[in-house]
Amino acid sequence: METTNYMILGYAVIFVVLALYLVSLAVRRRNLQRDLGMLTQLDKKTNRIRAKSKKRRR
Amino acid sequence: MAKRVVQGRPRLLSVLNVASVLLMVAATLMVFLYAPRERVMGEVQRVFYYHVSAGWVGMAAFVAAAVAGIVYLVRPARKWDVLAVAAVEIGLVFSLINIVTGSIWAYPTWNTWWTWDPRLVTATVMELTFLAYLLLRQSVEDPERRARFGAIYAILGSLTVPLTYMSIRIWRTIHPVVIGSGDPGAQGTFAFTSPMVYTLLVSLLAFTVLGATLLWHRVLLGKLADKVEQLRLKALGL
Repeated sequence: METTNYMILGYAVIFVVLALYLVSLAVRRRNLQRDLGMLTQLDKKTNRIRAKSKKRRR
Repeated sequence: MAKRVVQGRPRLLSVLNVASVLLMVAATLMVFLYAPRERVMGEVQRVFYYHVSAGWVGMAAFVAAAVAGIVYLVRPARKWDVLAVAAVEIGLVFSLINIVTGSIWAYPTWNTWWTWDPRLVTATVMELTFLAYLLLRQSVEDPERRARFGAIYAILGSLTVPLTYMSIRIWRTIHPVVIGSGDPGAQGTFAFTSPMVYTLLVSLLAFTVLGATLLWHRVLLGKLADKVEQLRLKALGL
């Protein structure tokens, strides 16, 4: 029975699904790292402003 | 501790990354160059090696999610919830591969892409049950309630795993049984030769290592997402 095309289709699906999942992991990681960087900077700024206003009150 | 971490990643994970790639290459070479061509089904039978391996990893991941759920209920800690979500996601990816490759194998063998066979139905129910897990989690705002809900759901949902595994052993089915004896009406069974057994074992090992590696990466992603969420809540003054 000639079933080579089905075998190729099967393995194409396997590697495409795995590749898409790897890409999704990489994209989500990149976006989270970008968010983390922004939020850390924001957190530092907020802390500095709070420290300054505390000093002024004293 | 710093010595064991390479670019923010544990050294063991880097080793697993390399091992996954090497094992997948070895398994693929064995599938195409070492395993013999099956006489009746022809080349499409080669799909079987990755189809079974993906099914095994998918089921193992769902069981891992349930175990993480049980541990969370006993000792509530965020890490168990992160692990459960990661395991469900990995389980979904591998089970999807299992179902789709099964359908592709079925067409030339059974002359249909889909049939309401107990194995096909239970495998799909398992996939949909855990897909719903991810969707329903998003509807719960409070992280603690979400984790508790997720833990209970994963434990109940994992009942579909033994059901799927046993379906071809307890009901009349046309799906072949790899381990043990199956229904006499099964279509697509074949006699295993030694190279086929070795290829299956290497494929199972490759997929297990790949699954564990991806699970670890997904757990790291979950931890990173947690950190971002905490900072976001802090920024919002919550």
